[in-house]
Amino acid sequence: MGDVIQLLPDNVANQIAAGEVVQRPSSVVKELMENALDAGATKIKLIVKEAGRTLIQVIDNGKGMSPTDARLSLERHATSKIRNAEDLFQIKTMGFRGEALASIVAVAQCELKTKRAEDELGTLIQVEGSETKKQEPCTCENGSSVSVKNLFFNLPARRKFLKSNAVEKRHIIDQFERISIIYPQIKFLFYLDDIKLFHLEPGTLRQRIVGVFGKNYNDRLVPINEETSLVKLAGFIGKPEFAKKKRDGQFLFVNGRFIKSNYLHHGILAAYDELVQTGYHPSYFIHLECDPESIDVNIHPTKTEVKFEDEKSIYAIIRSSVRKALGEHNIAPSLDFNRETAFDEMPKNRDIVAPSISVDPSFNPFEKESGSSLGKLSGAPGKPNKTEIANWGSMIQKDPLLNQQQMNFSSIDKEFVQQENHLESSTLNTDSTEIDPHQNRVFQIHGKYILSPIKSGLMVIDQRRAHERVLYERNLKALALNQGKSQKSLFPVTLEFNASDGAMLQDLSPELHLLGFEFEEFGKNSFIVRGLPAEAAQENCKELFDELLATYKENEQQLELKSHVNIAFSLAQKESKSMNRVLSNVECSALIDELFACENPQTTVGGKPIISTLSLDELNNKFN
Amino acid sequence: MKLILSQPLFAQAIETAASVADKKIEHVADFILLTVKDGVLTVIGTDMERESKTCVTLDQESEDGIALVSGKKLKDLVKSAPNDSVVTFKSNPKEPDAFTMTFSGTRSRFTLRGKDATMFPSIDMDGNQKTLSVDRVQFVRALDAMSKFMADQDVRYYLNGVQLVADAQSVKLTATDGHRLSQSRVALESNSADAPFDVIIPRKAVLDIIKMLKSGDETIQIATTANHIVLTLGSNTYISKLIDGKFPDAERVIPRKNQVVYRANRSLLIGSLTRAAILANEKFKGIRMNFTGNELSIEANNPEQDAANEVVDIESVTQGNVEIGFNVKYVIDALQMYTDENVLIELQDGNSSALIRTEAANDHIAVLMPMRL
Repeated sequence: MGDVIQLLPDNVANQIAAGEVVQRPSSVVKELMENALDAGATKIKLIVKEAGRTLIQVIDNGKGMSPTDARLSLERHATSKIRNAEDLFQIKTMGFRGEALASIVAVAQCELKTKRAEDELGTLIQVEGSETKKQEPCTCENGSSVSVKNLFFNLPARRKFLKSNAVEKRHIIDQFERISIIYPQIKFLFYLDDIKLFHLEPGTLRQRIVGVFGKNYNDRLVPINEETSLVKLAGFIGKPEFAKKKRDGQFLFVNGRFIKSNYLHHGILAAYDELVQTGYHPSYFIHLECDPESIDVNIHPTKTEVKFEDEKSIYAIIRSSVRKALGEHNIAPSLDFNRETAFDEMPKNRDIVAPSISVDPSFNPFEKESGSSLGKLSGAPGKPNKTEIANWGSMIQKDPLLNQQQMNFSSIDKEFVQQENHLESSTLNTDSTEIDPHQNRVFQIHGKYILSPIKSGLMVIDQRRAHERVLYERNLKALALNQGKSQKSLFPVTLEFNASDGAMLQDLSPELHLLGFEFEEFGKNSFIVRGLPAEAAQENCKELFDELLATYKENEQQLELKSHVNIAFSLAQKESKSMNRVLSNVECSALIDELFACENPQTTVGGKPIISTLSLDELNNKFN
Repeated sequence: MKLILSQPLFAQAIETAASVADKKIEHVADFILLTVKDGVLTVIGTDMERESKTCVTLDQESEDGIALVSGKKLKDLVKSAPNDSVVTFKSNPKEPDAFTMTFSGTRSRFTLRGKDATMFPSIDMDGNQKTLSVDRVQFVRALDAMSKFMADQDVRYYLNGVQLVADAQSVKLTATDGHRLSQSRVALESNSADAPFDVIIPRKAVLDIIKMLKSGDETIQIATTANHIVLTLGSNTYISKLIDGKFPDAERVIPRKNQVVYRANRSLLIGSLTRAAILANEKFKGIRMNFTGNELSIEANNPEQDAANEVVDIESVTQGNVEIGFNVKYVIDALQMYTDENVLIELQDGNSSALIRTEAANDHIAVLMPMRL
């Protein structure tokens, strides 16, 4: 057998590299926009069609390339951004590897038009799957324009693995936001399927954030500015009261590059500690500027991870500056309508004294309780002394009320027995319609679990999950049979969403309509809601939509469900959230009945158990 | 201080004050202020958003003085006293902050700990008042009807109450929870209005006021300032903070031009709906109403596959058939607002709001949004 190892041809190597660099259309958007930034453009236009499947085009007014550079730029490891290994530690540009264009042209049909300001004519290059089809001079504007058509045309498998248009669109919009926010001095235009989605004029960071996320962000932002020898921090953080269920609106940039860092994210959240309810996420837009030498961006092909030399100090700096900014924001309070007004009325010229305890020696715990509410008796004190017992008897005789009830106790012990009986019978009385002595009794604990004795032991049901299952199957049925009930509202509510949520909502609109939501688009990313599902008619409209979308997104990532399954599940999750409460016995039994009428009462859609049984043996073992 | 009063009168005097007084307020907790001056007992309770003041003339010997005591304890004690007894409430000469209470005919004696009365807060009324007076019975009836339609803990906080709009001749009440709306108009007593106003009374106050106005003088005075409303009924006053917000424009959503009109016997319809409601879905109570010719058929069913079918004779005023879904509770609530024998139901189609009114009056109406079933 001869030698079997051989060097791969360049185009194959490029395709392999593309696997890392070009994961999906949004990666192309990222690479091309970063190139435009590195070319010093002041105006960048992004055109996307069909979620990037048919076209992604980035047009900039940067410095452009000479014909030779243009040709070379498409080769692997060809770059103007670094020259030698030392430069790797001095990176001030977005890219540096010289892989991006080479990878992109390996998997798409590309057209590059570029012209330097000093040249008369520009260059046009057409490449298909790394093969140059055409190179000729052409007339064009100063700067570069790269259009990427039919992405993955030569890799049907990759093309197949692309998610739905809605998902890919959202990735692209997310990517665009990540870049446009941190370059407020550059003008950005973004056309999606011939609709102008963003038109961002140069301005301040605050203007840019408002431009991208909508004008209601304006009064949510708290500026944050800190300069240390290690790092320079600038940007905005969201006021804690505007924290959302969704994790969007969290942006951390290092030297103009969007990064993800769980460690630093944690530092920011730590500063919000106790200001934000658990499960809610504050938004932040923080830009860290530090010496390029002290960081390493070359650890991940998409460069969203960065290694800091002194991560711990940066963590501490971020945390304390966020704290400081939050503190300053609170020093200048705004009008708060929920504030407790009582404190304004407190007498001002009164001395503050320590509270004193006055003990009433004549206090007799039985005096009051003998006459009224039995409920308090559960906390009755231990054995009273003898004199009290004597008093007790005489009091009973004096009190006409008790005489009416013909209670005559000879001893305290007997009295307690009576009380216990009474207590029990009173609880039984209130529930008397619900408890059947022949029926299995159902218990609820902590408003969270329902316990029911079964032949082999004890069955424990997770209440919320059970509800979720029941609601999920009901929603699914509503979707299939068009049974969603919608309560229309007198005053339609207009909701504004960011671009990605807006796109998602539109994609989901047929399913949501079947479930009972009635809404229509009302201008750019605004929706007018005319009706809600009858079950959720009392909910806060905005919150319902926000949480539904947030859950939907989460499920999409984690569970990869079909859209109609996902929406039915997300709505069930949202609605079941309010179900962690004390249920009456009737409600408990109804829930159990409904659960066992479900197709799969055992597990949630996410595969978590709903029911757990504790066998008698297990119980017995615990007592051995 | 000292006061002697029969048990029913004393219980009545402290009733509203004690229910208004709330545990929320620091220092004062649920305490109410009892003042005796020149033979008149004044009881004040407040939670800083509402304040109730009741005056009772004492017909037996009294001593002037002030007491700040727990309203809940006082109320519970007095309520459980025999109905025919006489309550004596006086300060304890030995202990300045203690008050003794006895009920005649019993051998019980209660000592209540008081607090420094100067700590009792009062609501600062602001600006000039605009006053008007209305008939008590009419007003309380209208307010009672509204109380079912107002929202409860809605994020649109301005819906959690009743809107009061006064002009020269009448005061208009409006309440809505976003799915249904009700509006009613009460005529003013002769030219009593100072100036027009437009305010929202919070939910809690609406419920208090209904209770307070159940009996008493024929006429009540309503005064509003920028932030408060003051109701005066005889010697009693009730003050509440207003909701600071803009109530939605009701006129915009009242369908005055619905084409299809039916006349129905109110009590017959309520009967049918109540029966159908039993088998409607427990959670959202959806029913289907089919208006055709001189018949209204009502259908309801639930997930357990129970079904109700009701047919009611109705009279078609203007021609047209409409099939429409509703939350049955909303329809029953609306019908129960009226006392007339017949009501008019005005419809457009299955997707548009319906209007229910009586033949006589056009300004006592209910608007219901349909449910898509």
